[in-house]
Amino acid sequence: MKNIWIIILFTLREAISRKIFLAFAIISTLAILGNYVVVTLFVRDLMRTVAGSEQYASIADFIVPYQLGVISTVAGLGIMLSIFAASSLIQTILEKGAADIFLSKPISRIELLMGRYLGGVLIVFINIVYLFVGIWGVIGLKFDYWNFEFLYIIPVLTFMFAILNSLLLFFGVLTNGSVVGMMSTYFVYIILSPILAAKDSYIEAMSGTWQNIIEVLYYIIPKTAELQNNLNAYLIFEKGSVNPQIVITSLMFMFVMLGGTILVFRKKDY
Amino acid sequence: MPILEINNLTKIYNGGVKKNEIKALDDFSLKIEEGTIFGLLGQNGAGKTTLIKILLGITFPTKGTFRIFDSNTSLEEAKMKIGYLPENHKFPNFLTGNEVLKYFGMMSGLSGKSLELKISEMLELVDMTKWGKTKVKVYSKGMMQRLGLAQALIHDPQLIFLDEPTDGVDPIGRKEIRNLLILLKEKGKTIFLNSHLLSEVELVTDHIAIMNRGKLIKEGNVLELTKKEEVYNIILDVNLEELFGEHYLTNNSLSKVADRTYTIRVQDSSEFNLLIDKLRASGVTIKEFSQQKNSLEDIFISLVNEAEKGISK
Repeated sequence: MKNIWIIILFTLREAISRKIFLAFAIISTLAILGNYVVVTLFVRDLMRTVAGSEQYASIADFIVPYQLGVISTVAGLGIMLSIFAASSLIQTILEKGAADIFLSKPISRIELLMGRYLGGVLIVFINIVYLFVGIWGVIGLKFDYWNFEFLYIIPVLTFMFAILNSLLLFFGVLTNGSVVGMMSTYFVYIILSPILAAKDSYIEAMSGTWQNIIEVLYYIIPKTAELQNNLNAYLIFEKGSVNPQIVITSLMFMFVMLGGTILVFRKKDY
Repeated sequence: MPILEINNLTKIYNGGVKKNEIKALDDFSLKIEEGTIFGLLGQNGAGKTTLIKILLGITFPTKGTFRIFDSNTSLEEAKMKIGYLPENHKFPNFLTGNEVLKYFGMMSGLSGKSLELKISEMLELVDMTKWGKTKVKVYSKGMMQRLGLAQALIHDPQLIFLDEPTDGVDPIGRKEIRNLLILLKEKGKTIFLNSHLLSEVELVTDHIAIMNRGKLIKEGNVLELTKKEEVYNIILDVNLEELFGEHYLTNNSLSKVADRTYTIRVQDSSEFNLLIDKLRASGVTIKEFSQQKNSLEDIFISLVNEAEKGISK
């Protein structure tokens, strides 16, 4: 564990030097300020306008949809930026000239890999906390409405990134580069996962073979889109609606990716 | 017991296609004794770096075994007592010199106050104290080598692998590194040195091995390998031919090479002693004499050429 912690510290140091934290902090601060402006200028006015109408029964009826809107807009951007920022982390230690030094140290390859992986997740977690606690705080202060369920986005997004980071790591080790990993991760997150999440709406119209392929893919590919959809549903209905299958199959994907990365890395020549 | 024992190591790089196979190491065996400076020589691509990488677990052998320290020591445990300076190493360029030593020192098991002390000590040892707070991205090649050496030595290792340690270092720095290697040897450390600079290897190593195309072609003590069979240089206070005539030179297998300077080829050292006695008896003062040696470079070139001829046949 001590060795993993050393590699995590090294990863955080790299994130500071490469200005990953600074870039995230600037973007997050802009998002928080933007949220403040929107809340101050529009949402409050909108509330006043419809205050007398029967459509909105309580303040939560305004805030929760607004928070969902924020999540939909900011979370996707946050994940994509995180993938971009983390894509080169593994390369720093495995590029020619650096790998020799790292691998000659009394640290096992698994510790090296896990330190890098967890370091990446920690960087993203810190930034997600800053961003969403900031947004949540602005809304809370403005409306004196403290919707703690909104903060569930922090573990959900961190979990989503942890899954995608395992894919990034796998291709990073396999190809000795960051491009394939980044493209695959974006493909899964932006295209494949949302398409598979909506399978019920189109699968009936497909042939038997394609239906089977889609079903198999559905259980293999991590369900990042559904994780977010489930959180949205939870925020709206204020009750647990997370399908355990989504979490379990996504976790399995993450473990398979990490296991595969370890298998490849343990026997790879540098 | 040798500190390092390599048995029949073979490494084949595949490249995915059998016909593209490259045999970087071919049934390579070697033993290195504790407390010595060992030099591994070979042309580019001879397999020197591959060998070190296998010994450190950076690359894996296709066949063969090796043992570092004793048979009960795992490679992970052995690495606690091994220092390594790779060729063309690259430190993360966002770190300062101090931070490089801090992180790699931590990875080598150091922490707290002892790590801080070691960082200062190592920077001083390689004459880099004033550059400790500067990011390594602005370091010259020579400075990177010095820092690399500090990184390799920070945890006081017993066995030190140095791959081209003087690469890019100026002549004064080279001498300092040579002196450092001798100092480390005096402290009982074992040093495994890979270098193209044969004259430098000759100056510091006790034992060398020469490899070609992954094979060991010669191994031995540096003095024994470079010794020329019974040829001596001798400097006198007079010219012998003037004193005794030209025939004296022929009769005693002497050849004049410069004013009052001769070489003598003898069957054995007793013959040389007889000549010395004869000269001394004649009142000739011997100002200097030494046994002629081959340079390591001569030996290396001749052995590699022989090996290449053998392959082409």
